[in-house]
Amino acid sequence: MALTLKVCCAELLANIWRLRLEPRRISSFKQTGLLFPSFKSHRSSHSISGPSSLVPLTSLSSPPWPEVKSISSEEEQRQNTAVVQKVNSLITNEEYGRLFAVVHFASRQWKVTNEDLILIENHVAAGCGDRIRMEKVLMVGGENFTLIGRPIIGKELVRVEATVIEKTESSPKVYMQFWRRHRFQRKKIITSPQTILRINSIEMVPRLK
Amino acid sequence: MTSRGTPSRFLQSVLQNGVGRYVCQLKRISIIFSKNAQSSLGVREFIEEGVVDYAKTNPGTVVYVSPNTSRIPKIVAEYLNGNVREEEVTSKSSKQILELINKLTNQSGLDVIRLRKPFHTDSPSIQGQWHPFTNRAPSIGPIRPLP
Amino acid sequence: MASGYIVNRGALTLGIHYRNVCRTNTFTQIREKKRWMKSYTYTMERKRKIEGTPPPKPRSQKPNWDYHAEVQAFTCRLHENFSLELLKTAFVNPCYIESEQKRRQDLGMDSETIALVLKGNIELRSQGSDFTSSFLNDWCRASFPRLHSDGVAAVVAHLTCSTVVCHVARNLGIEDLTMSAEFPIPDDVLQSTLMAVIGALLESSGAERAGFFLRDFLATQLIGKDLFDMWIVVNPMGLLMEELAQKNMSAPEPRLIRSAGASTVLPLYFVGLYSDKKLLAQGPGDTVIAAEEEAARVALRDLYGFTENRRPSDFSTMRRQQEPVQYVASN
Repeated sequence: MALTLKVCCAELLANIWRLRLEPRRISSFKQTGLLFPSFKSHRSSHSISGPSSLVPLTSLSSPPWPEVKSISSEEEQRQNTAVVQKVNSLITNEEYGRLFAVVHFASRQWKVTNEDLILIENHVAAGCGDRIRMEKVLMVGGENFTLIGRPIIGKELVRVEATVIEKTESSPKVYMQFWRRHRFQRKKIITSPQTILRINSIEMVPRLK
Repeated sequence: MTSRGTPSRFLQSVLQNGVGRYVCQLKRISIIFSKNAQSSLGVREFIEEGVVDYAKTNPGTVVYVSPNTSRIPKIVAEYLNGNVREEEVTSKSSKQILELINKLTNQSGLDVIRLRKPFHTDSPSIQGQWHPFTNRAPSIGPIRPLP
Repeated sequence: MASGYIVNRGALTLGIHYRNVCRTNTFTQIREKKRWMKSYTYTMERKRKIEGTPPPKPRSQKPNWDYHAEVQAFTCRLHENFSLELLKTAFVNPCYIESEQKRRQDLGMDSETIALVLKGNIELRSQGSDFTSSFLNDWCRASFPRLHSDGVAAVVAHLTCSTVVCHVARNLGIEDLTMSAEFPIPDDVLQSTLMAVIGALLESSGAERAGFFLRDFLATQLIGKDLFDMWIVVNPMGLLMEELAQKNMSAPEPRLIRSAGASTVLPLYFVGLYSDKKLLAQGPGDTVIAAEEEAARVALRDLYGFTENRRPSDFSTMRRQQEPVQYVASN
C-alpha cells in the first residue's frame, strides 16, 4: 500500500510540474519524487490554474533552477540571427580586445593568446626564429563573443602565428627497470627533444590578407 | 632523482625573445682541444671542415678555437643571460660535434632542469577569471541557493 | 715503466690509434692515491674561507676574448647595422677613460705621448636617452590613446628606470662589452651604456630602426604589467571623479553590491561604482573602503584602456616591411 501511495503521489507531482515546465524535465522530477518522499504531501498551489490550495509555499515547492519558458521556433530563429549579426558586426568593426584561440597542435589542444609560450615535447620541422602558422583552430574568442568550430574554424577566418624560439632537450629523466632477486636491472637516461613556441598573433577576418 | 629532489623552474624566455625579434641566445663558443691527443681527433676534424661553415651561418656567435695541452676536449658555450655550459667532447666524431654545437646554438641559456608547466601566459584570462560571484545576481545577504 | 715501454712499441706497430692500452699517455704515470691531495685540498679550503670567494673578473680579462669580433657579433645578433666605430665609442665610459689615464700616469708614462684616443660616450648617451624618452612617450600615447599624461609619464619612467634598463642590458650581452672603471659594473654606468648604444644606432641606421629596437627590447617589458604597479596613484577616487567630470558624466556613486563573511576573519565586499545609474566598474576588497578604492582603480583601468584584455600591442610591423618570407606548407 505504501508503494502504491508513493507511486500515486509521484505521478501527481509529475503532472503538476509538467504543466509549468518543458516535457524533457519530467524524468528528473520523477526521480526526485521517488528519492524525497517528503514531497508527497506538498502541492504547489500557484502553478495550477484554478482555486488556490491551502498548502503553503515552501523552498521546495518549485525547482531550484529558474523557470525556462518555451520559445517557438520562429522566435528562436530570430534570436539566433540577431546574435549572429551582432557577432559579425563586432568582428567586422574590430571591436574586440585580446583574442584567445584553442589550437590543436602536436596532438594536444592549447588555449592560447598573444605573447604566450608553449612547450612541445618533440621536434618541429622549422628552425629557430622561423614563423609558423597554426592551422587547426578549434575555437576563437574575445571578451564578448566566441566562435566555436565544427570541429575546425576555416583558414580564411582566423590566423594564428607563432615563432620557434628554442629547440632544446628536456632535463634528463631516468628510465630504470629493476626486478628484485632476479639480478635484472637496466638504466637509461632519456632526454627528449623540446621546442618552445611563442604565439605572436591571432588575427581575425578583416585584417587577413 | 625525484622531481621534488631536483630543482625546477617555470617555462620562460630571456627578455621576451620571440615577441619583437628573435635573437639567437648563444654569445660565444670556445672549442678547447689538444693538438696531439687522440680524444680530440673528432674536434680537430671538425675544426678543419665544419667550423668555418658554422661560423658563417651563425654570424651572431663568436667562435674561439684554442688548442692547449688538456687531455679532455671541451666546448664552452656562453649565453646572453650569463649562463655558461661546458660539454666534454672526448672521442666524438666530427658529425656528433656538429650536432652538439647546433643543439647548443638552438638552446637559450636557461637551466636544463625540470619544467613545471609546458606553457606560460601573461594574460591568463580574457573573459574575466571566474570567481564564485560571477553570473550571480548581486545580493548583500549570505549566499544561498537561488530562490 | 714497463707499460710505457710497451705502449711506445705498440705505437710503432699499430699506428696512432690504440684502444686497449692507456689512451693518451706515453709517459710514466702513477695512478695511486696521492698522499698530499687531502692536505692540499683542506689548505685551499681554509684559505678560501679566510679570504672569501675570489672577486669576479670581467670577461675581457678571462681567456678567449677578441673585442672586435665580439662587437661584430653583437651587431649581427641583433639584426642591426651599426657603424662599428660609433658602437665602440658608445661602450667607452668616461670613468674608464679617467681610470686609464690615471693608471698610465701611475705607471710613469708621458701623458702627451700616449694619450688615450678614446672618446667618451657622453654625447651618444644624451642623444640616446632623449630619443628613448621621446619615442617611448609617442609609442605609449599611440598604444594607449586614452591614458592620462601622468600615467604616460609614469609608464615611460618605469621603462627607463635603472632596474628595467639594466635587466635588458645584462640580457643583451652589453655588460661584457662595456669598458668601465669598476667591476661588477654599477647600474647607472650600464644604463648610460645602453643609452649610448641606442644613440649609436640612431646615428648609424636612423630613427626608424632605433625605434624598432626600442620597441622590441624596452616596450616588451610592459607585457604582463599592471598600470598601477608602475603608476603610483594615492587617491584613485579623486582621479576618477576628475576624469568623469572632464567627460561630463556625473560623479561616481559607490554601492555595496555583494558581501560575504562580514562577521568572519576574511570578509569580502564587492563595491560597484555607478554613474548616471550605470555600472562603471566593480571591485573586491577586505573592507568596504578597500573595495571602493579597488573599484575606482578598476574603473580607471577601463577608462584608460589598460585592462588585461585590451588589444595587444603590435610588435610585428617590422617583419612585414622586410622581404616576403618563403612559405613552407606541411600536412
